[in-house]
Amino acid sequence: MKTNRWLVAAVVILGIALAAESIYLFRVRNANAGDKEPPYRVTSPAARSIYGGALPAQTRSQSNPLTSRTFAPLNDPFSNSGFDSYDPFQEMDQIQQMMNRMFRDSFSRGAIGRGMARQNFYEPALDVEDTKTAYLIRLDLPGIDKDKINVKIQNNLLTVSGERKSEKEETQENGNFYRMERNFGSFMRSFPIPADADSNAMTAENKNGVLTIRLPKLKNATTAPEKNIAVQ
Amino acid sequence: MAGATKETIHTAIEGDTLEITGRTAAQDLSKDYTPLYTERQKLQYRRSFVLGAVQKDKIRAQYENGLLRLTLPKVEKPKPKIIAIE
Repeated sequence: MKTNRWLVAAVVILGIALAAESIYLFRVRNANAGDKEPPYRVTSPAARSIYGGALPAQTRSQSNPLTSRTFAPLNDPFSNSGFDSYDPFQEMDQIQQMMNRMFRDSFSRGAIGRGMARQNFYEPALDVEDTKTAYLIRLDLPGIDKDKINVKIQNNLLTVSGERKSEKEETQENGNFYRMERNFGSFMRSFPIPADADSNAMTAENKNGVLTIRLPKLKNATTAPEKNIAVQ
Repeated sequence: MAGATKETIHTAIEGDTLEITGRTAAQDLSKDYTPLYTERQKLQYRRSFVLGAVQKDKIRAQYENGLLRLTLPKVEKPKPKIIAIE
């Protein structure tokens, strides 16, 4: 019984201490928030959501209690200060690209860490469509001139390669970067072409940063007749 | 923003916020097709930035090859006024 009483007393004291500390911290926080306005207007994270759904204008400009912090941005005039500048989707995307490349590199001969040393993980996204008359392959290649893109066919393997130069190297002005979210580096993607595609009539077009490769289908595609091989 | 045309990108300044909205790829899809492989995202996007000290009426936007480039001229710092001592 006696130990129980002691325990209860200890719990009560701890509870009081916790409450006192909470109140103190709250006061300190309010005092800090009171004398300084956030240096920049804060947009809520939803405003920069990658889905960009229709949000009422009000919620976009409302300041979020989590993000309206009082510390000044780190020398970034675009900074929304605080957690806003961190986009988990962006990071996930980059990690995925990195993983893809690492995975592929580890299976390709003689390509030890191709592009890895320079930390370049540019990987253009690609769509393949099957229409009635042709196969359409589309790659997102924004900001790459058409003479820097190579498309070739070798051994029934279509390969698109090129390089996306960093703006840092392109521009002569020695400016600072506040943000660098875009990826740069050389890329190569290849895929086998289908048997009924006419590789001689292939065309490629780069428009608005989308490379469209058109592989017309052979009109009288002859699929090789089935052949049975007798087991001896 | 590969695949977008000049007409499908919207940039607007509202107060201190610069907002860019648009839609990726989707518009180049043909009508009668079977997708075999889809990696390109078909989404709407919106990004906004809070502008610092820039000349808002002199912002230029260029779109080329799927790349939007916005040039935001900085506000020139006012020169210190030297007061002659009489």
